Amino acid sequence: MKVSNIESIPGYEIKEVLGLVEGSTVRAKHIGKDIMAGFKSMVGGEMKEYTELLNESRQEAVKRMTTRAEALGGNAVLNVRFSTSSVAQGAAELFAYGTAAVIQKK
Amino acid sequence: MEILFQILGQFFWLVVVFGCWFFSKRNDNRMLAYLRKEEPKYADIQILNTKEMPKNLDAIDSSLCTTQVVLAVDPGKRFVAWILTMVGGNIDVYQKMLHLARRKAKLNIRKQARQNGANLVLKYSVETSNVFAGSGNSEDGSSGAVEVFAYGTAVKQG
Repeated sequence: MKVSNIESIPGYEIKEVLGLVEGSTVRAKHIGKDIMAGFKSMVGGEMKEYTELLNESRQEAVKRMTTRAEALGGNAVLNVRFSTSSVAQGAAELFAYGTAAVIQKK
Repeated sequence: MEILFQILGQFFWLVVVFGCWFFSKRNDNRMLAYLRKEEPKYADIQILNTKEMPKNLDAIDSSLCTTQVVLAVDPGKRFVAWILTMVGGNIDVYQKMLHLARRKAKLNIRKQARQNGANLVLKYSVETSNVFAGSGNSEDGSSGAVEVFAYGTAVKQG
């Protein structure tokens, strides 16, 4: 499965475009980690706990998106966009969408 | 004596704020030192925010790279910013913080590209957001953390 955030996949040519696919996750913070992060936020610097959490959630959203592309019979997702919003206090929605396509090596 | 303690108690928060300021300064300096050490190692990886391949280059493979950096807004910075907003002008503390976060994100993308064997990143985009709004230790509901999210397509050349 190839994913890119441009209209093509460099090194490949597009055979067929299958349509829009999307994937999203809503994640809340872990209470223990949140307390740790609270202490961290007193002294500044990078908050590793949140960075990891967001990374995991984004990978999950991308995975859901690619699963849908696979279900449509595609082997690539083109022009992927990400969007982030906080739906409730302490919870974030991570959303990824793109165009499923069939590609072939040049 | 008791009056003295009372006065000290009144200004206890100021001590906390300056303590936080000191530690955050130290953390920032550490991060800057790390960036200065690591950046030259990955300087050969080119980052573009256009989507077309440069004309003379031929691609054989590509992959999506994503990275995020979450930085905390500590009470020290918030206090300094609060004072600065009263006089107006550049809010230097936040400016520096965001600059650091973006530099770190760029470095992370370069690292990922290197891992994938690529030396070119196309359509590099950066988003800045307040995820987990209301977290941290702010009472006014503003975010205690800022997230910089960067992504791009790493291209392997033949």
